[in-house]
Amino acid sequence: MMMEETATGIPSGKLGIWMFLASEVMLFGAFISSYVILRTGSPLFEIPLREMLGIPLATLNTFILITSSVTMVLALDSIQKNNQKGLVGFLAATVVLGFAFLGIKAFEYHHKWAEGITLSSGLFGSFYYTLTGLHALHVIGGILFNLYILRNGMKGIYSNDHHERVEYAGLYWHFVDLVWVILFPILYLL
Amino acid sequence: MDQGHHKETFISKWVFSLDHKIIGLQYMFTSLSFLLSGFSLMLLMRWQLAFPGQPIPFLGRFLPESMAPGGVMLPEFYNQLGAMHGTIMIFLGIVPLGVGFFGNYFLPLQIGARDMAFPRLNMMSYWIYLLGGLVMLSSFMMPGGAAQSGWTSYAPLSVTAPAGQTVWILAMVLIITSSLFGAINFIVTTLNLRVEGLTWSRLPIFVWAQFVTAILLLFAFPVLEAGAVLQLLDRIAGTSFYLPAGLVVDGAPLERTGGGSPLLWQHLFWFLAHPEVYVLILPAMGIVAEIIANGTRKPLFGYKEIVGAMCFLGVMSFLVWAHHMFLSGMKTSLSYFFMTTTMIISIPSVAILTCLVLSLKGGSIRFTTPMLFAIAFLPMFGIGGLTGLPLGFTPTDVYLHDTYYVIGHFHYVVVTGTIIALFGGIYYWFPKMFGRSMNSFWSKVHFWLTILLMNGIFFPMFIQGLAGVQRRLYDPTAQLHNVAVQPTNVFMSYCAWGLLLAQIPFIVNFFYSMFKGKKTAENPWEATTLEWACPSPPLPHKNFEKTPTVHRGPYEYSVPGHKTDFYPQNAA
Amino acid sequence: MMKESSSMVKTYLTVFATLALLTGLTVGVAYLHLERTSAVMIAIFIAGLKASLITLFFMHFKFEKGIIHWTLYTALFLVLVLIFLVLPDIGVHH
Repeated sequence: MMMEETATGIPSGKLGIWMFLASEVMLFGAFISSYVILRTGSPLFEIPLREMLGIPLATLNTFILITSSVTMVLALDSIQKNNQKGLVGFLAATVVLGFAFLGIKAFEYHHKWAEGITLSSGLFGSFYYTLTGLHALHVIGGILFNLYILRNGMKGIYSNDHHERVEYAGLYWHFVDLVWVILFPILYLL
Repeated sequence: MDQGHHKETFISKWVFSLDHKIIGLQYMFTSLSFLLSGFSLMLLMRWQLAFPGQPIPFLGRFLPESMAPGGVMLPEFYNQLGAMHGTIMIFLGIVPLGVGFFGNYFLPLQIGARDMAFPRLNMMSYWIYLLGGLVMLSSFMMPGGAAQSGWTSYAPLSVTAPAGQTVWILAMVLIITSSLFGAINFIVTTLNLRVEGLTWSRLPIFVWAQFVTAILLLFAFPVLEAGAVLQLLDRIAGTSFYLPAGLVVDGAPLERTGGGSPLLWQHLFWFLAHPEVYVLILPAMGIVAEIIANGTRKPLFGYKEIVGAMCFLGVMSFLVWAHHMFLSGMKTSLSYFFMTTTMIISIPSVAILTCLVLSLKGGSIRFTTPMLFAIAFLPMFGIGGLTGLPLGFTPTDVYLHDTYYVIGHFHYVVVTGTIIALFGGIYYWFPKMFGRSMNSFWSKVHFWLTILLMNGIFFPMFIQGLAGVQRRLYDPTAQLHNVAVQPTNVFMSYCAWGLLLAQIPFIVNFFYSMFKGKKTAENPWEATTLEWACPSPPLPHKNFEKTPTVHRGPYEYSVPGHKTDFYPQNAA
Repeated sequence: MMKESSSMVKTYLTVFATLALLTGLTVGVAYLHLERTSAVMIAIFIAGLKASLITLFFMHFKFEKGIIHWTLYTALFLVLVLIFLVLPDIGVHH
């Protein structure tokens, strides 16, 4: 497929992904705003003890997601240099790290639920599961997108002058990482 | 990309089509059907309002016991009709017609594109919209009936309402998703697919209007999506995002932790729903601008001012939402802020209207059917807009809020304003879509009956509102102060039922002309914009025989020295 | 677009190291039990810094054209509008 000339000079796909990400910013922005607003405004917003939140595990998860972001960008860098093996390797690493994040998240959920922090135990629990749950759904979406790119990459579809989709998958994945970077301090550290 | 070379089956051509024109037509027929069904719900309500407590003649016999035992409508059913009327008209009727149909069909044509930027996404947004609409309608079959907390679905009432509300939320999430896909598509299409020479200052007003509308949808809708998810969790997962502590429902305390805020829902809702007002009106203004330039045979007055005002409207529409919530007892400083921004946002609306009115001055007007609708739009939208001002000031809003005055105000904007403009647009572009024109006599009959009856329905609402009649009342005669204006209700109901009959000439004329109407040339209105430079109907998946190049602005009518009184954008 | 790719790898790794460092820092600060306002300010500042680094370098925002910049700025502005215009309204009702 030849790249079509566009009036802005930006490929339509890339522009579309950015528009989509802008709407995602609004979506997460509205959830996070609601959290901030009720946390500061509600008289009944009890924060669980810090020990119950499991900061070490969440920190580990943050590292995992940041690492997956850098492997993602290295995958893109590889294909820009026409390095097929690099693309496949780094993408596979990204996907594995994504699953690791979800695994730890599931363990955290299980643990918190047992400790009595549930979806209906209070506003903190409600927001915790809603925000991280929505984020986890996005992680799953990102993994699926990456697996699709990985499959195509293994078939050798991408090359140094044809790799837009790798870039788009990357943009989405970095955004998912970015959201976590915001959620981590506001849910665990404050 | 190259669908043109493949042999198309019936399914790929008419059902799962990727062609923006077919998708546009799908949007048109679907949204017109929803408009009709939303309108029908109101016709039932109008019976209860005119003759409270009396059995509905004929139709009443077919309604189940749970809705209208013995043909007399239950209060719960009345509430369902009201909530669904608002939801269907706005989210399933007008927006999909104004944006989904008009935008889809004519935006690519006006910018000289072969299709939208993402045809597959375009198809998906139609099918998700249809699914959302069907889910929404199906909620009438839920136990306890459809959503009944108003189209605004205020918490906590909506949280404790029967199951129909859950269906409402799920349908809304589908509709929002569809709109977001559409918005992304429109924005990228406008940015990227303009043909050579079509600079921003040569873009028709209609394209500008659709572009700003898409931006509003893109940024406003996710916020309601978030709000809807929180409401869903409140309903099914036992959370308390919108529930304060100590709620008592039906005499029993609600088993929730509480701590949430009902006002949070109102804020999230209106953060979308105010920009939504401009989503409803901007495409209409765009259509009217196109028709007026064509009908007056002269350039629009203040093209740049209209464009600037539209962009300013877009920005400001995100800063006024809480004027719907003055009665919630917000801080004075906050209500002053929203009062001020509301007064500011009225300026660009008035500027656009003024430009459109001044465009008429000195023109040799052709009173075609579309032009009649466009001219009628001006005073009607003016009434709608100006009656909004007292609602933007807190002192007057305290009295008028939640009365029929508000209903009158927004129906003047949305019905006599937007719907009239959309009708005009259908008459204007009908020859482009089908290569035939609609019968002129019957379209004029349709116009005059419609505009008169619409005023007959909505004008008395101002009188009722000023007399203190609250909205959402099941039985208007239950309060003594309402009885004095009850005769207006009877009059309005007859006008509403008449309005249904007045649509018959339109419907018959539409389908008859589609197949048997008089054949027309490529450019029957002698217009200048690009959509008239392609065959009628435009070529499948391709639109233009040869990609046009643009040489001038969109409204070069009566250019001195030119041989005809119109100078098309693409003419060399 | 991006020519000297070898130097880009170096940039990516530097950004990664910075992100890791900042994560450690923000967790460390959380255990200092600072006064509420400064704790919030520091945590938000660090999160903002990390988010900016990801956007600028990993998402190549730094190298994009104006229209993409404006899209993101608009979204950020509107989120701030939402937070700061609703915030003063919710507290007063309790």
